[in-house]
Amino acid sequence: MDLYLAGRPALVTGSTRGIGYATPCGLADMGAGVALHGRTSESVARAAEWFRAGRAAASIESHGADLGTAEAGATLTRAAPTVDILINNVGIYRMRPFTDSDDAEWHEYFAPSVMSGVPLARHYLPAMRWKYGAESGSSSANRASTFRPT
Amino acid sequence: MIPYGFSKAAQLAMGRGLAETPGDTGVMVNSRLPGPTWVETQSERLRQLARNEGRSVDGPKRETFTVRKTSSLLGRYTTLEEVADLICYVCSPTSVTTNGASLRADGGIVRNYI
Repeated sequence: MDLYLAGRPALVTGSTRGIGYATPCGLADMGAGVALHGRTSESVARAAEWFRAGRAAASIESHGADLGTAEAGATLTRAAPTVDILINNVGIYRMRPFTDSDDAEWHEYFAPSVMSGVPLARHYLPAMRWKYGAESGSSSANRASTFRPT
Repeated sequence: MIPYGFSKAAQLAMGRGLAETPGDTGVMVNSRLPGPTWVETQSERLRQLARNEGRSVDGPKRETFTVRKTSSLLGRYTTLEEVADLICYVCSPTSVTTNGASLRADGGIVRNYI
Protein backbone atom coordinates (compact mmCIF):
# COMPACT_ATOMS: atom_id res chain seq x y z
CA MET A 1 0.00 0.00 0.00
CA ASP A 2 1.39 3.40 -1.00
CA LEU A 3 0.38 6.18 1.38
CA TYR A 4 1.35 8.95 -1.09
CA LEU A 5 3.01 10.97 1.66
CA ALA A 6 6.26 11.65 -0.21
CA GLY A 7 7.07 15.34 -0.31
CA ARG A 8 3.96 16.44 1.59
CA PRO A 9 4.66 19.07 4.24
CA ALA A 10 3.24 18.17 7.67
CA LEU A 11 3.08 20.06 10.96
CA VAL A 12 2.71 18.12 14.21
CA THR A 13 2.09 20.23 17.30
CA GLY A 14 3.45 19.04 20.63
CA SER A 15 5.95 16.80 18.88
CA THR A 16 8.91 16.85 21.26
CA ARG A 17 8.12 13.52 22.93
CA GLY A 18 5.65 10.65 23.22
CA ILE A 19 3.07 10.02 20.49
CA GLY A 20 3.69 13.55 19.22
CA TYR A 21 7.33 12.72 18.50
CA ALA A 22 6.62 9.26 17.07
CA THR A 23 4.19 10.80 14.56
CA PRO A 24 6.62 12.99 12.54
CA CYS A 25 9.09 10.09 12.68
CA GLY A 26 6.50 7.85 11.02
CA LEU A 27 5.51 10.52 8.49
CA ALA A 28 9.15 11.25 7.60
CA ASP A 29 9.85 7.54 7.14
CA MET A 30 7.06 7.63 4.51
CA GLY A 31 8.77 10.55 2.77
CA ALA A 32 6.79 13.49 4.19
CA GLY A 33 8.55 16.74 5.08
CA VAL A 34 7.87 17.48 8.73
CA ALA A 35 7.76 20.51 10.99
CA LEU A 36 8.25 19.76 14.67
CA HIS A 37 6.69 21.97 17.30
CA GLY A 38 7.34 22.35 21.03
CA ARG A 39 6.32 24.79 23.75
CA THR A 40 9.84 26.15 24.03
CA SER A 41 12.61 26.51 21.47
CA GLU A 42 14.86 24.44 23.78
CA SER A 43 12.51 21.44 23.87
CA VAL A 44 11.94 21.48 20.12
CA ALA A 45 15.65 21.87 19.41
CA ARG A 46 16.33 18.76 21.49
CA ALA A 47 13.65 16.79 19.65
CA ALA A 48 15.02 17.97 16.29
CA GLU A 49 18.46 16.73 17.31
CA TRP A 50 17.11 13.23 18.13
CA PHE A 51 15.13 13.29 14.91
CA ARG A 52 18.11 14.21 12.73
CA ALA A 53 20.31 11.62 14.41
CA GLY A 54 18.18 8.86 12.91
CA ARG A 55 17.12 10.55 9.66
CA ALA A 56 19.89 12.47 8.02
CA ALA A 57 18.05 12.74 4.68
CA ALA A 58 14.67 13.82 6.05
CA SER A 59 13.24 17.29 5.45
CA ILE A 60 12.63 18.90 8.85
CA GLU A 61 11.88 22.28 10.41
CA SER A 62 11.43 23.03 14.10
CA HIS A 63 9.33 25.73 15.75
CA GLY A 64 8.93 26.77 19.37
CA ALA A 65 5.65 28.45 20.42
CA ASP A 66 3.49 28.12 23.51
CA LEU A 67 0.08 27.36 21.99
CA GLY A 68 -1.59 28.20 25.29
CA THR A 69 -1.35 31.87 24.34
CA ALA A 70 -3.33 33.83 21.76
CA GLU A 71 -0.27 35.07 19.87
CA ALA A 72 1.40 31.71 19.46
CA GLY A 73 -0.85 30.35 16.71
CA ALA A 74 -0.01 33.35 14.53
CA THR A 75 3.69 32.97 15.31
CA LEU A 76 3.57 29.34 14.25
CA THR A 77 1.62 29.91 11.03
CA ARG A 78 4.00 32.72 10.06
CA ALA A 79 6.95 30.38 10.56
CA ALA A 80 5.27 27.46 8.73
CA PRO A 81 2.81 29.15 6.34
CA THR A 82 1.73 26.13 4.26
CA VAL A 83 1.16 22.50 5.16
CA ASP A 84 -0.76 19.65 3.55
CA ILE A 85 -1.09 17.80 6.84
CA LEU A 86 -1.89 19.34 10.22
CA ILE A 87 -1.84 17.21 13.35
CA ASN A 88 -3.17 18.96 16.44
CA ASN A 89 -1.43 16.76 18.96
CA VAL A 90 -0.69 19.23 21.72
CA GLY A 91 -2.64 18.86 24.95
CA ILE A 92 -2.28 18.56 28.70
CA TYR A 93 -3.15 15.78 31.13
CA ARG A 94 -3.55 15.73 34.89
CA MET A 95 -4.73 13.00 37.21
CA ARG A 96 -6.45 15.16 39.82
CA PRO A 97 -9.79 13.83 41.18
CA PHE A 98 -12.82 16.01 40.38
CA THR A 99 -13.44 17.03 43.99
CA ASP A 100 -9.81 18.18 44.36
CA SER A 101 -9.90 20.34 41.23
CA ASP A 102 -11.08 23.94 41.17
CA ASP A 103 -12.64 26.07 38.41
CA ALA A 104 -9.22 27.30 37.38
CA GLU A 105 -8.21 23.79 36.35
CA TRP A 106 -11.06 23.61 33.81
CA HIS A 107 -9.88 26.88 32.30
CA GLU A 108 -6.28 25.65 32.28
CA TYR A 109 -7.25 22.88 29.87
CA PHE A 110 -9.08 25.09 27.42
CA ALA A 111 -6.19 27.06 25.90
CA PRO A 112 -3.58 24.31 25.35
CA SER A 113 -5.94 21.39 24.68
CA VAL A 114 -8.86 22.95 22.79
CA MET A 115 -7.99 26.41 21.45
CA SER A 116 -4.45 25.41 20.42
CA GLY A 117 -5.75 23.87 17.19
CA VAL A 118 -8.34 26.53 16.31
CA PRO A 119 -6.15 29.28 14.79
CA LEU A 120 -4.07 26.62 13.02
CA ALA A 121 -7.10 25.00 11.39
CA ARG A 122 -8.47 28.42 10.47
CA HIS A 123 -5.18 29.31 8.80
CA TYR A 124 -4.40 26.05 6.97
CA LEU A 125 -7.85 24.84 5.92
CA PRO A 126 -8.58 27.33 3.09
CA ALA A 127 -5.33 26.51 1.25
CA MET A 128 -5.92 22.76 1.69
CA ARG A 129 -9.44 23.19 0.32
CA TRP A 130 -8.14 25.12 -2.66
CA LYS A 131 -5.36 22.63 -3.38
CA TYR A 132 -7.31 19.40 -2.97
CA GLY A 133 -10.59 20.88 -4.16
CA ALA A 134 -8.86 21.72 -7.46
CA GLU A 135 -8.10 18.03 -7.97
CA SER A 136 -11.86 17.40 -7.55
CA GLY A 137 -13.21 14.99 -4.98
CA SER A 138 -13.91 12.23 -7.48
CA SER A 139 -10.41 11.99 -8.92
CA SER A 140 -9.01 11.85 -5.42
CA ALA A 141 -11.44 9.03 -4.55
CA ASN A 142 -10.66 7.16 -7.77
CA ARG A 143 -6.96 7.38 -7.20
CA ALA A 144 -7.32 6.01 -3.69
CA SER A 145 -9.67 3.19 -4.62
CA THR A 146 -7.57 2.17 -7.62
CA PHE A 147 -4.55 1.55 -5.50
CA ARG A 148 -6.27 0.36 -2.40
CA PRO A 149 -5.77 -3.36 -1.79
CA THR A 150 -9.17 -4.71 -0.69
CA MET B 1 -9.80 13.77 35.23
CA ILE B 2 -13.18 15.23 34.16
CA PRO B 3 -11.62 18.45 32.80
CA TYR B 4 -9.29 16.22 30.77
CA GLY B 5 -12.27 14.29 29.34
CA PHE B 6 -14.03 17.56 28.58
CA SER B 7 -11.02 18.80 26.59
CA LYS B 8 -10.88 15.54 24.58
CA ALA B 9 -14.63 15.56 23.87
CA ALA B 10 -14.28 19.17 22.66
CA GLN B 11 -11.52 18.10 20.27
CA LEU B 12 -13.68 15.33 18.82
CA ALA B 13 -16.54 17.76 18.23
CA MET B 14 -14.12 20.15 16.53
CA GLY B 15 -12.73 17.35 14.34
CA ARG B 16 -16.16 16.36 13.11
CA GLY B 17 -17.14 19.99 12.55
CA LEU B 18 -13.98 20.70 10.57
CA ALA B 19 -14.50 17.58 8.46
CA GLU B 20 -17.92 18.92 7.46
CA THR B 21 -16.61 22.41 6.78
CA PRO B 22 -14.60 21.74 3.60
CA GLY B 23 -17.27 19.56 1.98
CA ASP B 24 -16.39 17.23 -0.89
CA THR B 25 -12.92 18.56 -1.62
CA GLY B 26 -10.49 15.85 -0.59
CA VAL B 27 -9.61 17.50 2.73
CA MET B 28 -10.11 14.98 5.50
CA VAL B 29 -10.29 15.54 9.25
CA ASN B 30 -10.13 12.64 11.69
CA SER B 31 -9.43 12.18 15.39
CA ARG B 32 -7.34 9.42 16.84
CA LEU B 33 -8.06 7.93 20.25
CA PRO B 34 -5.06 6.26 21.85
CA GLY B 35 -5.54 4.01 24.87
CA PRO B 36 -2.87 2.89 27.35
CA THR B 37 0.33 3.81 25.54
CA TRP B 38 3.85 3.25 26.84
CA VAL B 39 5.29 6.77 27.20
CA GLU B 40 8.17 7.91 29.41
CA THR B 41 5.80 9.26 32.07
CA GLN B 42 4.04 5.88 32.36
CA SER B 43 6.79 4.26 34.43
CA GLU B 44 6.73 7.17 36.90
CA ARG B 45 2.93 6.90 37.18
CA LEU B 46 3.19 3.19 37.95
CA ARG B 47 5.97 3.80 40.49
CA GLN B 48 3.74 6.32 42.24
CA LEU B 49 0.84 3.88 42.27
CA ALA B 50 3.12 1.21 43.76
CA ARG B 51 4.36 3.66 46.42
CA ASN B 52 0.79 4.56 47.40
CA GLU B 53 0.01 0.87 47.80
CA GLY B 54 3.31 0.21 49.58
CA ARG B 55 4.66 -2.41 47.15
CA SER B 56 7.07 -2.78 44.23
CA VAL B 57 6.38 -1.45 40.71
CA ASP B 58 6.16 -4.96 39.23
CA GLY B 59 2.70 -5.43 40.75
CA PRO B 60 0.89 -2.44 39.19
CA LYS B 61 2.62 -2.95 35.84
CA ARG B 62 1.56 -6.59 35.63
CA GLU B 63 -1.94 -5.76 36.88
CA THR B 64 -2.54 -2.96 34.35
CA PHE B 65 -4.23 -5.43 32.03
CA THR B 66 -5.12 -8.32 34.35
CA VAL B 67 -6.92 -6.20 36.99
CA ARG B 68 -7.48 -2.58 35.94
CA LYS B 69 -7.95 -2.61 32.16
CA THR B 70 -9.25 -6.11 31.59
CA SER B 71 -11.24 -5.26 28.45
CA SER B 72 -8.03 -4.65 26.48
CA LEU B 73 -7.85 -7.18 23.64
CA LEU B 74 -4.18 -6.43 23.05
CA GLY B 75 -3.34 -7.08 26.71
CA ARG B 76 -0.32 -4.76 26.76
CA TYR B 77 0.59 -1.11 26.39
CA THR B 78 0.43 0.18 22.82
CA THR B 79 3.76 1.40 21.47
CA LEU B 80 4.19 4.97 20.24
CA GLU B 81 4.96 3.66 16.76
CA GLU B 82 1.72 1.68 16.64
CA VAL B 83 -0.29 4.82 17.32
CA ALA B 84 1.78 6.81 14.82
CA ASP B 85 1.09 4.19 12.14
CA LEU B 86 -2.65 4.84 12.34
CA ILE B 87 -2.02 8.58 12.10
CA CYS B 88 0.16 8.12 9.00
CA TYR B 89 -2.63 6.12 7.39
CA VAL B 90 -5.34 8.73 7.98
CA CYS B 91 -2.98 11.49 6.79
CA SER B 92 -2.78 9.72 3.46
CA PRO B 93 -5.06 10.16 0.42
CA THR B 94 -5.32 6.37 0.50
CA SER B 95 -7.71 6.70 3.47
CA VAL B 96 -10.15 8.90 1.52
CA THR B 97 -13.22 6.98 2.73
CA THR B 98 -12.37 7.64 6.39
CA ASN B 99 -13.42 11.20 7.17
CA GLY B 100 -14.96 12.95 10.16
CA ALA B 101 -14.26 9.85 12.23
CA SER B 102 -12.83 9.20 15.67
CA LEU B 103 -10.47 6.25 15.36
CA ARG B 104 -9.28 4.07 18.21
CA ALA B 105 -5.71 2.92 18.57
CA ASP B 106 -6.37 1.54 22.03
CA GLY B 107 -5.82 -2.20 21.75
CA GLY B 108 -9.58 -2.79 21.72
CA ILE B 109 -10.13 -1.52 25.26
CA VAL B 110 -13.48 0.17 24.54
CA ARG B 111 -16.14 -2.51 24.28
CA ASN B 112 -18.58 -0.61 22.06
CA TYR B 113 -18.19 -1.98 18.57
CA ILE B 114 -19.51 1.07 16.72
